[in-house]
Amino acid sequence: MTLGLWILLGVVATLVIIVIGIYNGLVAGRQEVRNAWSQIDIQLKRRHDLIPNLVNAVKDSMQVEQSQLTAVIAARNQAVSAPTPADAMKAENALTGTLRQLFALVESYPQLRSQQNVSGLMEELSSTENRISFARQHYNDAVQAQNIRVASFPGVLLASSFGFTSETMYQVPETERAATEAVPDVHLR
Amino acid sequence: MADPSAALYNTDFQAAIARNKRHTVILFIVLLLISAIVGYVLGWAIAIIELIWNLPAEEVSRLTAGAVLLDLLGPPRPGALLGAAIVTGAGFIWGLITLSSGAEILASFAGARDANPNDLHERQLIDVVAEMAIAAGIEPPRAMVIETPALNAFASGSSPKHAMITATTGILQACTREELQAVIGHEMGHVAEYDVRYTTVVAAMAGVIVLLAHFLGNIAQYSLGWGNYGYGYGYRPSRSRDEGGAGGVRLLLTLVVVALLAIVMIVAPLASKLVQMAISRQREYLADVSSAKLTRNPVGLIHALQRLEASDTNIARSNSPVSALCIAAPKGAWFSGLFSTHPPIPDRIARLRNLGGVAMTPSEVASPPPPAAPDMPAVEPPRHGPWDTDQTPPPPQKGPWG
Repeated sequence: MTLGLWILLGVVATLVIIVIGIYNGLVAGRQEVRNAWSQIDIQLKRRHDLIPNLVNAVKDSMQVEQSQLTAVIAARNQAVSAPTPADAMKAENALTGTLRQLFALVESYPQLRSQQNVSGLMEELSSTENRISFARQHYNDAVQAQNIRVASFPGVLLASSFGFTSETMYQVPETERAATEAVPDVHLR
Repeated sequence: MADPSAALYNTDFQAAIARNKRHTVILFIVLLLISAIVGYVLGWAIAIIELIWNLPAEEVSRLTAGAVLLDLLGPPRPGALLGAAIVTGAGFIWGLITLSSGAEILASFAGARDANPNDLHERQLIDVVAEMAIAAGIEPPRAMVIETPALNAFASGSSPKHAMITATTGILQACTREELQAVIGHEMGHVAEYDVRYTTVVAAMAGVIVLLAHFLGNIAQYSLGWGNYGYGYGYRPSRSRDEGGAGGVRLLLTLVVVALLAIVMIVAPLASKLVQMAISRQREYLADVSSAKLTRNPVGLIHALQRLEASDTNIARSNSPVSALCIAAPKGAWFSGLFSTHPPIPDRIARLRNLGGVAMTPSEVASPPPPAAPDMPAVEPPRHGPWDTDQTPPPPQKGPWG
């Protein structure tokens, strides 16, 4: 009798601990997804801050490329002032494309590359470009891990009753893919 | 799934990561078992010797060596269980003590300093560390530098929060940004998977066994010295209770037990060292996979490994404590594969290529791309074509040191 009671108590306690563990795992996963998303924003902001510096550093030496420089600044301002998240995403992707062209252009100016502030800024900006794409990659990794958690046993038993749903992956839009794959427009001189 | 190819890579990474973790767990259990066996045999030996010397003389003379040894396999004696618990626990506790003593020691031991953001190479290291930390979703570790032409990098710090990633100036100058990213990805894998903890605890557990064997060896030498003068294993000759040949039998049986103990104490340190190194190699494979997962570009790591293998300068201290967390085993070591902290580089490259079915031309496998000029880093890691083989950077105009 008492032994049976103890066993029952033990089973209930184990079940409670397991449920707590699953719940905490789901919460941690969702938090990871949110953190990953905000990390993307942080890096995009960093890019917005860096672009004017680079443009200022190169504008004197790149007189003939003024149109490219204004395009970068325009794309940057559009991304900063985008009213909706969807617009922002579109503007950021356009910015990625124009920035890439500017990078290719700067590379064709050896005297620019040898300037320490320019090369430092280039390093910082290209690292930021990398950080943006790694932040997106991590976001997708976090989303995938959370979606597996939500959809697989034992999380699937509890996810819906606790209000956990599958998250949405970040998708590289077709326009950016095209921009990535396009051959940069480099003028050799 | 947004991108079918990304899903495929992920599956491969997850499977490889799960496999490596499983291997580590199995090896860790083996190490625990070795500790427990050593403690058990030691505790048993002490208990049984005590028993032999305390039994009445007529019972002792009926004992045979076989019967005594069979007792080891019989119902466990409390002393044996206690011994098993003590030796296994001592390993854990020692490991925890080592962990709490902190990471600074390890990095400063190797003569590392903080990376200087005003130096372009070191700026690149700081940036690449930050990039890989973002990809891994952890706080960026401190980026450190060691001034040496040797090509190497290592991770230290007991948790991602207090981690450091150290690179030599040699590797910063020799590698392209893509390769550096892969190397740092490998170290970030060590950090994110808590390999510093693993390595420390495993080393401590293996260390306890080695130390114990050493200690007992010294005791045995000391006691045998006494034994030459007619005293058995530290016991006083003034056992007036002994009658007939009981004293001789006691001595003989004690020697049999001691001989068994000696065998265990010779085999166990060797076995635990082997297991420790096997765990280390599993963690290396795991870090390689992590690097490929973080960069989505195994080719970068393949090139970096080829470059490391081709280099003739390497950190000389082969058995320094940082060895297990370096990107590659320090060269100049005589030890064979079984006692190496790292798997052979060709083996690692083969696994990386299997990871994503990397198809490379033979010429590319034979020669890594030339060192990049540091001023023009790659803009973005190759995303949709990680296996593209035409990613090799252009030859430097000024040479690597220019």
